[in-house]
Amino acid sequence: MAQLRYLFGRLVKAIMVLLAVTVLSFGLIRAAPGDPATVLAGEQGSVDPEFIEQVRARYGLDRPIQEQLFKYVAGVARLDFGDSYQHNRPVIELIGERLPATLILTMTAFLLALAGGLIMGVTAAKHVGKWPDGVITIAALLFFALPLFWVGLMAILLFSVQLGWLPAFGMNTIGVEMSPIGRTLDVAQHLVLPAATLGLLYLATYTRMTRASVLEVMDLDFVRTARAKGLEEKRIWRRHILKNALLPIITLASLQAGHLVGGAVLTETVFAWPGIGRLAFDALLQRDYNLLLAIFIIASAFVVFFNLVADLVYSLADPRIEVAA
Amino acid sequence: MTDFARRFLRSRSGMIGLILLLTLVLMAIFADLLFPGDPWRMAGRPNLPPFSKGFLFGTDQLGRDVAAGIMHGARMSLMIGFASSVVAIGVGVLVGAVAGYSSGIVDDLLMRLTEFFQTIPSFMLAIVLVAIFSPTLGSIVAAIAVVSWPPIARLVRAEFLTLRQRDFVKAAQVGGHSQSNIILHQILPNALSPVIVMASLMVASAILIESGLSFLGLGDRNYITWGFMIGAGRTMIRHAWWLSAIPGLAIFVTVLALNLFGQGLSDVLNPRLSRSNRT
Amino acid sequence: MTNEPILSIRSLDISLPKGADRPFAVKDLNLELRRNEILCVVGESGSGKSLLATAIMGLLPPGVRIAGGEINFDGTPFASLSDAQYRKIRGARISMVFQEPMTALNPVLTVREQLDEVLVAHGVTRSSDRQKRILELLKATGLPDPETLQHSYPFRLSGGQRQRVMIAMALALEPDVVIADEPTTALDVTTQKQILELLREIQQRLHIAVLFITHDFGVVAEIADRVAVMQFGNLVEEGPAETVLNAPKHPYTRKLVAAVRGLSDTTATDVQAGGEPILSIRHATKTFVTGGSGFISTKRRRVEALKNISVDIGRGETLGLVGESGSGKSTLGQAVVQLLELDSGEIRFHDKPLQAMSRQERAKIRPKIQIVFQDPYASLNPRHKIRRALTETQMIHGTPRAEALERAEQMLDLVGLDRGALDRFPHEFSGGQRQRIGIARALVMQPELIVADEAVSALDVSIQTQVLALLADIRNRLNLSMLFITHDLRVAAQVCDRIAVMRRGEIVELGEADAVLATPRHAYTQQLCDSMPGIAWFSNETGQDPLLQSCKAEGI
Repeated sequence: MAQLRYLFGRLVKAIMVLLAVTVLSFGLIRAAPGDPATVLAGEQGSVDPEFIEQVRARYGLDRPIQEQLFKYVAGVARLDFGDSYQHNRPVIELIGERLPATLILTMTAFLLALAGGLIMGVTAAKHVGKWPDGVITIAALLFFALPLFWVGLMAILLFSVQLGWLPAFGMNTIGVEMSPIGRTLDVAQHLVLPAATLGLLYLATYTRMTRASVLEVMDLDFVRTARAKGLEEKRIWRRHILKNALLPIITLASLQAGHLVGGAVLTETVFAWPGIGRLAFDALLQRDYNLLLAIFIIASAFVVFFNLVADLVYSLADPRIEVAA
Repeated sequence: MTDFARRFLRSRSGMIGLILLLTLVLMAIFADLLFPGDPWRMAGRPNLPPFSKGFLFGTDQLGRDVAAGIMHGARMSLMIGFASSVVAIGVGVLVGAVAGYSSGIVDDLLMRLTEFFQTIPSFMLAIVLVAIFSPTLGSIVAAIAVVSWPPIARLVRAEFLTLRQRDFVKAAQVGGHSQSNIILHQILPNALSPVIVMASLMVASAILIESGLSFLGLGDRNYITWGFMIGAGRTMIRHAWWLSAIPGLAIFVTVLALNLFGQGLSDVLNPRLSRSNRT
Repeated sequence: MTNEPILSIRSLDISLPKGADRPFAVKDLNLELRRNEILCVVGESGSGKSLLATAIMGLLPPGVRIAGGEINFDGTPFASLSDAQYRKIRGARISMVFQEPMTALNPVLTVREQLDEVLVAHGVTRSSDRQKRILELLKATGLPDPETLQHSYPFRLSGGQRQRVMIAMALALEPDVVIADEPTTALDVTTQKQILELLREIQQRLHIAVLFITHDFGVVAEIADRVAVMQFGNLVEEGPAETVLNAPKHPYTRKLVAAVRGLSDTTATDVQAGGEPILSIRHATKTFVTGGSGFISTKRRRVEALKNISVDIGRGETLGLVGESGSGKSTLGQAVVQLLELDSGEIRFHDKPLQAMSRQERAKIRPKIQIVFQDPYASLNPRHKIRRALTETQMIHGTPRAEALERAEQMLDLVGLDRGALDRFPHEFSGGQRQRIGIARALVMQPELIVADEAVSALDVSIQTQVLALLADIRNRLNLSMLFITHDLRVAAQVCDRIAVMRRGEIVELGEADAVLATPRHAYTQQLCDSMPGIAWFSNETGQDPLLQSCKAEGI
């Protein structure tokens, strides 16, 4: 019961955040330089004042600002972000086409980073001060300092241009007939470099967090109690240290998972991955602000969604949550 | 202070970071002396590989000297990284301090605001802000600051909440010290160590954000930056790999230096936190 | 009692890592623990007593190691055992109870799971056997409703209950030896008494040997068969409890015993009650609401810290405010120094209500009511030199620099510190010295009333005596009034004229200190008095103790 109330509270909060993001987006569209109607009309090839008025009426730009805001928010609530000025199609269609690619990329990167980070972090903590710890700590430090888009370029240079092992661009090999299995393998091949690139920074983060968390728990009193009970080391690690140390990491990680969607812009741009990050880059080049901000709202929604997931995971996994709530 | 310096000298990562940083700062300062003139101008034959005579890092497709770009770019990276961090820390410390000291409704509102900014995907927000307010030095610094201040605010608030409960702060209250006196002289100095450590890491992440923005073409076109150089060299990657490789290395070394420096500061300022890092 | 040793320690050296304040935590220690006895190892902080316990368990922290000598268990030296053999003994034949019940249990495992794994680790394979044993153990340690409680997580239990779970865990395999490291220090005094009784009862029923580590001679008097006293890593005295407590031979033991017993020797003022009160509290009420923040609130918890409290403090009088944790005593102290606002009721200083005063009037009053805090490590700003700590507040209230400095120097003299202290930072002083600085900081303001909030609770007993004597001396010399807040009746008895006993936000008894202690009227006061560890020993021969006289003569 307490947990349900806790989650309900979180849900309300999530909706408030999304509302605020939408209002912010609306404000930013309006803050963009130039009267949108003039820009629109200009792009459609006419600066005739009458035509501008027409455009203004068509997009509701002649209404009072509060009404426009209300309409925008109401639209977003129904997933209606209006049309893309550039593509002349509903924004939500464009995003819907591109979203699966982004999700495949980010979730692969996330899972790789989390698994690798947990393993590396625990290994480092277990051998704290010895060579495996040194190697892992330095590796994490180096990964942390790498600009991702550059890593992507260098990976293309090495694995595609020099060695020719993996494809450099896109998600599919175009113009070749393939069986479903073959197509899946083809996507997987295309996925390797971008997913590894995107995962690298998070791998470094999770490694550091895991190492710190394990080291902290190792020093706690109840671990000493477990030793005093005569338990085997293996059991102490599994039931006492890891159970307590990994819980916050998994929560923190799922909090960050949502940020990956928005963080994929650079990686998708470098690898020409047909996701919403790449779409955002195109929208940016073409000053298609309606599309850009819709992507921005969707990316925020992912963060909010994963925050909820993290809360859920946490409230199920940690018995103390009722007290914290 | 001498004690601080002595302990910092003993931190290996801190010293490596400091030396690298000083080198970068010197590069930035003497860029005009070593590579006078506009780094955008054509200086030699196009597409010279690194270690060509007179062009240590080669030239690009327009014959611009890559080494000159690196030196002048150091100036921009450090400047933007530093400026945006100063703004972010200013805002973060202010918000965190007010929230942590006032508690109640003010604290609640400020923390909702902070959480809100932490929820929005930060790089995307930076892109949107710079795109809409057009890429100038000012808008880039502001955009990076806008996405960077929340962690500082949370940290400062947490420190304030703990410190406010400390007896020496209560003693000052019982003594009738004014609120501003208590915040400035009793609490803030004791809350600064972790902020300083976080600040050095923040400069690093600001530099990464800036390079990402210029890579996407959202840099100020009046100045050459490392991110722009990588973006420009990207299409040439099959023929002239050094055009993107070398500026990327420069970013990597800078960010690494700042991280190492931050690690060193952390070892000295928060011995409790880094205890488990040592053996 | 059989006198056969189960555990014997021979010329044990425990070395500390480089850079510690001394090379050895324990030096050349010889000690025997016999079957069927409780041996108390007593010492102040830094005596090495806790490291001795962890050394026996083979759980020394990294960097600390056994540098010489040996520990024999039932005739076998631990050093000759493999890790696996040692582990078989640990938890089964020797087990341990730790100080902090709040942190010693794993927060994400239930009580049952934590008990179960000891049994599994030591070869109880049938799960029905284990379940039966778990219920037995929970019952034997006096926990209510074992069937339900076994499925609880530790955060659901009170401190005393958690400590019972720890004890159940230690007893799971009927060990020969239980090592208890300050097992009651973190508990309230009434809970402490229950846990001590439980340990004693179990020890006698199962005839086990208990090595009981403590800093408290009261606890020793309550529970020990034999006593070993440690100082700076050395064993300075060992013998039957009777002898060590009543006729200690070593000067250090004598000093410690005198420090504890000296507390029953009253140093209260001879101020007559009545007269004009300097401070009167009327109908003070304060309720704290915790949890549930933000616009969607979750579970809120209300704690009534003060329920309609009324009490006076006379000029030159010391009023003791005694209670266990959560009684509201500190809340009242904070209200008096205006660190928090009351919900209702008033506090009158010189018959003027503080609440009704203007800002300026309040600012003028503030220096007159000063406070001395509990934790000497948190009460001084680590970044300010003592000079600033002692003069800044004075100057804020308009005292010229030179005069403020002069007063700071005088007060340092008064609290027995060198004037050179002014140019040093807090971390350069010991706990006792910092507490003196804290007192000086209060005194430079020339207060009329001092609130001492657990002012000696964090100090070692020998330092405690000195600081208490200092407070009493200053109070008498400067004719100060004092609100003395403490959880320790013994300490209160020493310095207070009157005592108010608080429980759950109410004053349950108020009276002359001697009367409250000797003939408590309220059942709770009675319970507090009875729970005082070593009460029988203290009241045995108060005042006229020849030892006490001799110690006084020596000026200890």
